Amino acid sequence: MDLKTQIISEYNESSKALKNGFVQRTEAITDFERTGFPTKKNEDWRFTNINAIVNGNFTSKAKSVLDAKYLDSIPEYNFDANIVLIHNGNYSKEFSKIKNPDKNITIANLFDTKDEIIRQYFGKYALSSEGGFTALNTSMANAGTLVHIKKNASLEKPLIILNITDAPDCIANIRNLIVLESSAKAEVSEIYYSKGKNFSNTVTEIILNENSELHYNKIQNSGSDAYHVGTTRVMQEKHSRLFSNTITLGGSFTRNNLDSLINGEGIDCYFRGLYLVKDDQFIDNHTLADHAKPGSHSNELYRGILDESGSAVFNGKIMVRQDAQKTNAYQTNNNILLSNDCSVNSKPQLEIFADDVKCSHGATTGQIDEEEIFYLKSRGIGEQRARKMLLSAFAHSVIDEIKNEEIKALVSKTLDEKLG
Amino acid sequence: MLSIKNLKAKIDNKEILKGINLEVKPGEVHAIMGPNGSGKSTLASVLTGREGYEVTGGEITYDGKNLLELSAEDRARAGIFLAFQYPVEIPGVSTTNFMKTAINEIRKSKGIAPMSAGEFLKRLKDKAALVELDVEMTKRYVNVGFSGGEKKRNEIFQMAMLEPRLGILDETDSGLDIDALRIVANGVNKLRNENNAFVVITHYQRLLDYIVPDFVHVLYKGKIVKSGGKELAYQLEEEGYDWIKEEQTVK
Repeated sequence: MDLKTQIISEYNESSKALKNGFVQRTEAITDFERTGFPTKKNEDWRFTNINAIVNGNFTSKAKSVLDAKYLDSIPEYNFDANIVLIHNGNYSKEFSKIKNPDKNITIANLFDTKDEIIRQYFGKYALSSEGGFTALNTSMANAGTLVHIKKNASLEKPLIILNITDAPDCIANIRNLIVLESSAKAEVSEIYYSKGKNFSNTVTEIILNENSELHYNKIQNSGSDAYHVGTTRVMQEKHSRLFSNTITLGGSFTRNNLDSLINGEGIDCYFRGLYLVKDDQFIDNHTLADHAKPGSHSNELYRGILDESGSAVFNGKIMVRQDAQKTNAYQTNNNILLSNDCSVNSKPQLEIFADDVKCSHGATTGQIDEEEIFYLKSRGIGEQRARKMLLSAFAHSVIDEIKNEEIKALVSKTLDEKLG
Repeated sequence: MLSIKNLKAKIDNKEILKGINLEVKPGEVHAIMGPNGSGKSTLASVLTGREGYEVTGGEITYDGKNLLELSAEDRARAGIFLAFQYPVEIPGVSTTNFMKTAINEIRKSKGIAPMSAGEFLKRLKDKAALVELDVEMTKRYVNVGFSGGEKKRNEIFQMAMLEPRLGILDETDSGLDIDALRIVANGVNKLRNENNAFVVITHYQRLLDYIVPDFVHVLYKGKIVKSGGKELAYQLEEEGYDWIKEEQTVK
């Protein structure tokens, strides 16, 4: 049975158990049935081969027991943060650690809470009609995180949504909704851990109301047989600020979609990303900065290191709509290729329909600068150490933007280990 | 300390060095002068192990060892330092981190434990003062956003940090105004002692007003065609290189 047929049959078996009035599951599964998984004929998936997922015999019924010892071996679990634990796509109340909820802040299982805000925003920006993975997520997801910060409130301790997927052949459908009311502030990180072969499919909708500020990290550093598709859709109102860092150092197959609708003036939207591919890893980042209103700013920097038979895709689109005069939008993608067998498809796209804007984009793909290597060697630094220093420096222009010191240090350490 | 015998070297199949002979002893400063294209920078590159140069004849011994068999990093670890004509920018690596790594890699090659943080900091401050470099500059990425003069000063700072036995200055004076030239030269003079030596490569005599050489050599068409004391530099300043060229044509 192919994965699509299997999912539809699993949906039919379990749909009665999947409640929640705000989810239009029937519509979503109909969308999924109609669209199925994307193919290479779809422009957004041209360089992305998802056969390993479609033929991967994944099931939403896979189960495993959460092992406290394993949890303790995950450094992030003990960070100074609120921890939401999602295990194989299920919310673990037992192992989650919510430290400072106050009446202005809700951190909860999205599918087990009655906050009216959900009805207002759920499925508004990530539509199941837009593609198979979002439709699959909308029909099947039964766990995820609601973050709701009320007006003027700040989430004192950062939130880590720790997604652990370790049941064999598991599909984890995870759905998050983050709503910051006006002038609210928060830091939220989605961190993915995986053991064995599995597939996580996440959709995160983020609503940033006027003058709110979100630091958002998405980090996938583990798992050599992990498949991940994640879609983050952001809606920014005027004067809001988004600082996002998408770090992918692990996984077998990763597709990160990150879109922001820049829907007001005085908005700052920062997209930063780092990817490292080795062996035959594949990492694909698709981003969209969609300027719909005048006088806002977006700035994107994605950097990639490619080695062995690894491959990557970067597709960054800046859209400036007709009304969005006085837009400043910048985008840079740099790649370093370390082997003859690795490859990257870098595709910057600018679509500008306004005439008074400042936009630029640039992409580079090349090797480590040999003159820089010689400079370091001429001071007594060995060849291997010199190469590692330069790669680390290249990556740190992204890593240094992470505000959370614990996460920053852990990403640095992981990178260090991966660079060998 | 350094002995170069009949050194011949090619780049891109073109012979640049056509038989160089040079003896450098501890405590000495040698100036190598010559018109553009005479092979001065090639000599510096071959001495420090830059890739792309093919040595086709002759030998270089350094402290009795065959220098040509050593990698660039091993030459540096043996105490050879090149102040670059065009210092390289290294975004993302601070000068402090660069120097800490270099010092400890050199120590490691000799089986010495890493330098303590306190000792390193003291050396950093002392040596920055030596070249009148603001210590804050060492926290910045190596040479990124530095002016030409600051880059050259940073070269001499690095040389001071690493305390080499043989310092090679490749046109360190080019692009420097008179104040920067004085600072750089003072730095070198303070580092001079009876155990180390310097090879100062320059096109102009003016650097040699500040770093007074024991010997001056004129490099022309890949050979040292004349050697003398510091007065040879004055003669070159007065009369240019034409008389050298003429002498060579007559020969």
